[in-house]
Order: sequence, then C-alpha cells, then structure tokens
Amino acid sequence: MIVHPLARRRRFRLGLLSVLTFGSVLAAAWYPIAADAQEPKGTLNIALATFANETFLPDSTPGAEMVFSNYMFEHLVRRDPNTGENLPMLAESWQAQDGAATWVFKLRRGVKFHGGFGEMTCEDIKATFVKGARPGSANTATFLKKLKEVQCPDPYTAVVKLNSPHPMMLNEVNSGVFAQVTYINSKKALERGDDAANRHPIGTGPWEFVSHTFGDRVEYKAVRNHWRKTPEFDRLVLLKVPEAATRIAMVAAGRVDIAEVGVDFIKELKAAKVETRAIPEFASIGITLGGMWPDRGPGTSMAKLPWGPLDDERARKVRLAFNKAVDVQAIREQIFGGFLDPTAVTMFFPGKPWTPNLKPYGFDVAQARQLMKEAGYPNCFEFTMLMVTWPGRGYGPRAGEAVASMLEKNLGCKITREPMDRAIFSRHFGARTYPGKALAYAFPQVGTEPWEIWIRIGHSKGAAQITGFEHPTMDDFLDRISREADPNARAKLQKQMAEWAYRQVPRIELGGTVALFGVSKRVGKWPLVPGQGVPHYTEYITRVD
Amino acid sequence: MQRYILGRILQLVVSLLVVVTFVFLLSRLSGDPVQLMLDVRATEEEKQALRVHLGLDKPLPVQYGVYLQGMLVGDFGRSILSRRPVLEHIWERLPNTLMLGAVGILFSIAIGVPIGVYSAVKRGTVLDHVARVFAVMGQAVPTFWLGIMLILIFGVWLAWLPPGGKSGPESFILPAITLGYFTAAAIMRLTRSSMLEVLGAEYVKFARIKGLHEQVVVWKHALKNATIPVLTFSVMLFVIFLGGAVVTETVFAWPGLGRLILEGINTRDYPIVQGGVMVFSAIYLLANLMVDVLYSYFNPKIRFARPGG
Repeated sequence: MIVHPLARRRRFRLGLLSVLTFGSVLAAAWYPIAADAQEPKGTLNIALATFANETFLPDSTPGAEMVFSNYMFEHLVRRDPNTGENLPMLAESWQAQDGAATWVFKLRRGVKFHGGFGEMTCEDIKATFVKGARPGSANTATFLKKLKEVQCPDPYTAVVKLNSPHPMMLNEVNSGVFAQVTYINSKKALERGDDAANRHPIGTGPWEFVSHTFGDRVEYKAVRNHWRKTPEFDRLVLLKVPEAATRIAMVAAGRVDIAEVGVDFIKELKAAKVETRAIPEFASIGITLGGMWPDRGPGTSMAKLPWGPLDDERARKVRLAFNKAVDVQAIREQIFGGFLDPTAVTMFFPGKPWTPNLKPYGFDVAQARQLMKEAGYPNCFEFTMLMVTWPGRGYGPRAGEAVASMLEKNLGCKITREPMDRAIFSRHFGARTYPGKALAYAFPQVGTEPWEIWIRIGHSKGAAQITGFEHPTMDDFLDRISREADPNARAKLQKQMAEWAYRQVPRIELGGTVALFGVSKRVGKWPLVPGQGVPHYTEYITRVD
Repeated sequence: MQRYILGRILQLVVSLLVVVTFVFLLSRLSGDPVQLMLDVRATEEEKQALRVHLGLDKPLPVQYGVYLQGMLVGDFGRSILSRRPVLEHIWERLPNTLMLGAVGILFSIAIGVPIGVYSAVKRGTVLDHVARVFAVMGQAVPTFWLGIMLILIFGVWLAWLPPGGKSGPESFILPAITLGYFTAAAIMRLTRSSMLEVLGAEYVKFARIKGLHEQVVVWKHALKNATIPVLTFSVMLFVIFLGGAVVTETVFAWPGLGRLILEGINTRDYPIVQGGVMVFSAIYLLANLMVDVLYSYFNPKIRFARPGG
C-alpha cells in the first residue's frame, strides 16, 4: 500500500503525540516520583492513638515507633504502593552475594541530612546499623542479629556482611513494610550522644524535625526541594489522642486531617460522615488455642488439652468444630463493617496468591456439634479466653467476645473472659505460659511473604509463640524457606506449608483486616502500601484547598 | 505558733515519704517495662541487657535507695522511654494542668455561686428546684460521659469549639466545663446552704428594715459573708482538680500532668509515675498545710487543740 508522505508525517505526528500523551499519563499516575506540584502550604494534622516507645534512636525502636518518626527518615529501599515491588530510595541499586549473606548497596549521591549534617554516605549506613545491632538494642530487624560488619569501599557503596544468609534483607531496610525501623541516621548526629540525637533527630526525609513534646505532639516542616518529593503541606503535626471517640470527633470536625481509627469503629466513622482510607492486608485476626507445644517447665504445659496435641485426631475435631461453630460472616458485618476477608490459613492473606485452592472451613453448627460429640465433648468444656488489647489493633477483645458467645451458644462451652494488657501478655508469648487458654489476637503483617511472621512467632526456637502450636514439620518448612534465595521456590514451599497448616486446623480463623484512617476533605490522593499499618508516604498526599 | 508549723511540716515530710514508698512499690508490682519497650520477638538475653542498661536488674531496696537519694537533691531520675529527666517532663506538663484547673475552678465559681445565691433567695420556687437538679446531675454524671457529649455537641455537630488538643484560648472551654461541672454543683450547694444561713441573720434583717434594696442586701451584705466557706472550699477543690484531671485530660487529649502519669502507668515508666504522683502529693499536702496554718492563725483554738482533749 502506498502512503502519501503527508499522511505518513501526520501518522508519525499522531504516533508521537500518542506516545507523549501516554507517557505523560503514566508519569502522572506514578506520582511518587513526579516533580513538585506546588509550594508547601498549611498544616497537615494527624491524630494517632499511640506514639509507642516514643524514641527516635535506632537501638530503642522495636518497630511501632515508625508511627511517629518515619516521616523524617528514609530507608535504603521503598515499596511501590501499586505493585509492592522494591524500589530504590537511599540505595539506587543492590545486589545479594554469597547466597544472600552479603548485600551490596550502591547509595544515591547528593542526598543531604537535615540541619546541615552533610551528605549521606556509607559511614551513615554503618553507624546506623552498628548502633541498631548493639547488645541490648531494642531494634528487632532480624538481619541486625546476624550483622558481622559493614564495609565502606567508597562513600557511596555499603557492603553489609552477615553471619548467615538473609534472603529477605530488603524487607527489613524498607520503608513500605510495617515495623521496620532501620531508617538511616546521620553518623555525625548520632555522635552527639543519645540525648541530643533523641531530642533533635536528624534524617534525610521530606519532613524535617521541628519539635517534640513527649506524649503529646511532634512537629515537622516540609523540606523544600527534597530530592524525592517536597510535601504539599508546609507543616506536619502529629497529635497523640488516646481516645478513639475524640479522634473521630476531631477528624469529623476537620480539626485534624487524618485520624487513626480501629476498623471496629467503622460504623461510628460512617455515622459521623467521615471519609475513610483503608490499608489492606494489615492484620490477620483469629483465636489462638494455646499449649500445643512441648513441656518447657512450670506453667508451659497442660496435661489434658482438649484441643491438642496438634497431631491428635480427636483434638483436630475439636479445633475444626470450633471453626465451624463461628459465623465469620456475621462478625465481618457486625464488627468489621465488611473489612474482613475470611481466610483459610492464619497469616496467609490475601489468600489468593498463597492458598488458591483452600477455602475457609465454613459455618455449620450441626456439623460442629457432631464433631464435638465424636471428640468426646458433646457439651464442650470450660476454658479461658484472653482478650488482648494492642495499640492499633484494639478490635481483638470485640472479635474474641463474638467468638466466645458463638461457642457458648452453639456448642455449650463455658468461657471465662480475661482482659489482658499487652505488656503483661508479652511475657506469656516468650515464656509459653498460656497452655489451655485461648487468645483473641491480630497478627500484623511484618513482611511481604507469610513465612516472615510465622518464623518470628510460630517456630519452636522463636523468641515468641503466638500461634499456639509448635511442630517439627512447621519448623522444617520455615527453616527451608528461610534459606531459600529463589522467590519462586520460596512461594512453592509456602503453598505447601499453607496446605499442611490448613489440614491441621491450628486456630479459629477469622480473616485478614485493614488499617483504617478517617480523613478530612483537605486530604486528596494518598498512595498507601498494602500491609503498612501506620501513616506513611504523607509527602505524596495532595492538598485539596 | 512556730512549734505548730514545724510539727505540721514534719507530718508533711512523713506523708510524702509514705507516698513515695507506696508509689514505688505499686509501680514495681504492675509489670516489667522491658516487656513493653522490646518487641515480643526479643530474646531473654536482650531483655536482660536492657534491664542492666536501665538499672532494673538491681534488687528493689537498692533501686529504692538510689531513688530516695536522687530525690533529696532534686533528681527524680530519667524517663525509661524518653531517657530525659523526669522533672523536665513534669515542668513541661504541669503548667497545662494548672491552667486548665484554674479555668475550671473559675468556671465552677462563676456558675456555682450565682445559681446558689438565686436558689437560696428563691427557695422553694421552680428556679430552686431546677438549680438543685443541676447540682444533683453535676455530681452524678460521669466526667468522661459529659466530656464526650460536649465534644459531640459543640465539637462535631455545631463545630464551634475544638474537640481536643490544646491550641488557642477556645480549646480550654470544653475541658474546663467538663472538669468544672462537678465542682460547680458542689459550690452551688455550699453557696445555697451558706446563703440560707446568712439570709436569716440579724444583720441582714436589719439591712432590710433600713430599707435597702433587696439586690444590695443579697449581693453586697449577705453574699460577702456567705462566700467565706465557699472560697476556702474552692482552694481545696482546685488542688483536688489537679489529681482528678486525668480523665478530662485523656478525653480531650490535653497535654497535662494527669495524662502523663496515666501513660506512665500504661508504659510502666516508673520514674514518670513516681515523679508525677510526688508532685501532685506535694501540692496537695502544701495546700493543706497552708489552709491549716491560715486557720490556726485566725483561730488559735485549732493550734492548741490536741487529739482526744
């Protein structure tokens, strides 16, 4: 076919225009890297339930502190809100060597610390990691426990050497994963001593520290011409407001722009006509059945455990009956306002990629009663359910109460409810001293793959035990997965692990839920990373005037 | 007189010592702060290292001795969480509590005294009954409920006032009303009974016979004498306010000392709890001492009175 030169030129122009338009749309859609749109103006107020340990130092922050400090710091890596992919942040590129026992990070040039503390270099990475790894450090990033040394062959290359392979390293130096506090501090700032470093912390983030009134507020100001993104708001004020009702009132009245609100307050938020933003895949909620582990001394074992040991068929029937006696849909609607995705296996959520062929056990009271009869408990039995309140996950007791009521009504169980403070119960996690007790608890998502939380709280050698059972098969799965550097092979092993756990019915499974925020009309677009349960990427929030 | 004051100061010191010991022991019984400071994944070795770092590995009597020694030189220790001196936190928060208490007590007097006076003057009328219902409600309604209702009405529905936090002068209004309603009711009742007593006095009858206007009799002559017990009571109420502000400060996210102590309890930050309670106790005991001394100055019978005789 002969094409006229003018038509060809027109086509070329049209093609070029299409490419440019498409490119512009893509660039606009991927706004985290887009150029600054406008001069920072006004104040972004955020009301939070807790500031956790309220410290900025890398060796005194177990994880939840990022709720009030991550705005001013940056990590080596970040996560794309849409794809979950790891993207460069302070590190431009990275490479795993020696089977993931050595990690080489190529650092971004020209990134400045606030307050004239100079350019970020490898020495700052080294100082941060070494401080976080010191004996007695509260930082729980697993790689810090394995840290051998950090070498700086040049100012822009950091070689992190570990005592053993650590394939999930990137998840622990990442701003887009919950409870990761390995943000990079200035070496010079740390050298001023803990007191000075904590009173006036220095970071490289888009918000610069201004002031901190302990237990009340933290104020930041926007960093003009920040290398990544200058915020659209001039100031960021975090307020600690312990009462949920007050936080809802403040956001409803427009006195704060973002309020952290538990998902169990969704009805109150709707009644107050407050717009909400939900971070999916934040927590997995259910009832842990304690005591399915070997005797470790006083208080750790129970001679006759109706729901254990794990391999016992009679006990498995009890656990299955418990699951079938609970109307998860009713709990989903009544307590979680629809924000609960029923899951088949604890902490495997969202279920689709990990457990595509597994379905929740389902609500069937007749079958549940039959199973209890077969297990030798036609009228159920007596036990205690611990209702643990956790900052940011306050719905545990309400969900626990719903499950307890259903087990009493449908199976005839007699359940003593015991409210339990987080601090007190933490001890039981470590010491395994809650055999025979059920526990209403929501696991937070701490990594991008399910095994990352399982290995922390479900391994027999783990420092804590919150899954309720320990088993050699589970240990074996976790050990193999943790050594596996190939993500596809890890995914395959995790699917096998999920199928095994599903057959064992280890827990009363409810599902995965979200982290919920009420927002004012001034909050426009806000990219949120699934699983990251605290306010983040506030620099990308667009201001609605 | 000097002997009496010295005796009362000695009593104050002993009382403070008892308070310190009691709070020290109670705070230790409530749990281990290391459990809160570290993640649940922390190993026993890590926990122990942190205990050593914070000095919590030492025996209790040693910890107590160190604490007492520090207090004598004005050192209340450092917060376990912030690692900053406790006194610094207290000075940061105490003015907010004092200011809120002052506004609250002013509100109580401004509301309680006029209503009490009118209630006494119009005794047995509808106004009197309404005033008494106001008083009963004030003493029966839980503070947290009142606070939340005020937030809902004035903070959310009408959007006239900030629902929480400390900002401009308007942010004092709702917490001060919440804090002051209970005492306004008490002041109203005291004013009413005091006025009823005074209104029946001979000098008031004489003033009326003289032909003075009723408003002058009530507000100038009667009220002057009737407010003496009310004002004394208000000073004590103000001190009680400080301790009782915990609920109000929490509901309104007010950055006061009461909330600091409550959070200290939640996070097992012993030095904060001990320091905060010490300051509250010291203020309370000092105010008591001042009132006692003033009373004894004006009424010598008190200073010479001995228990049982």
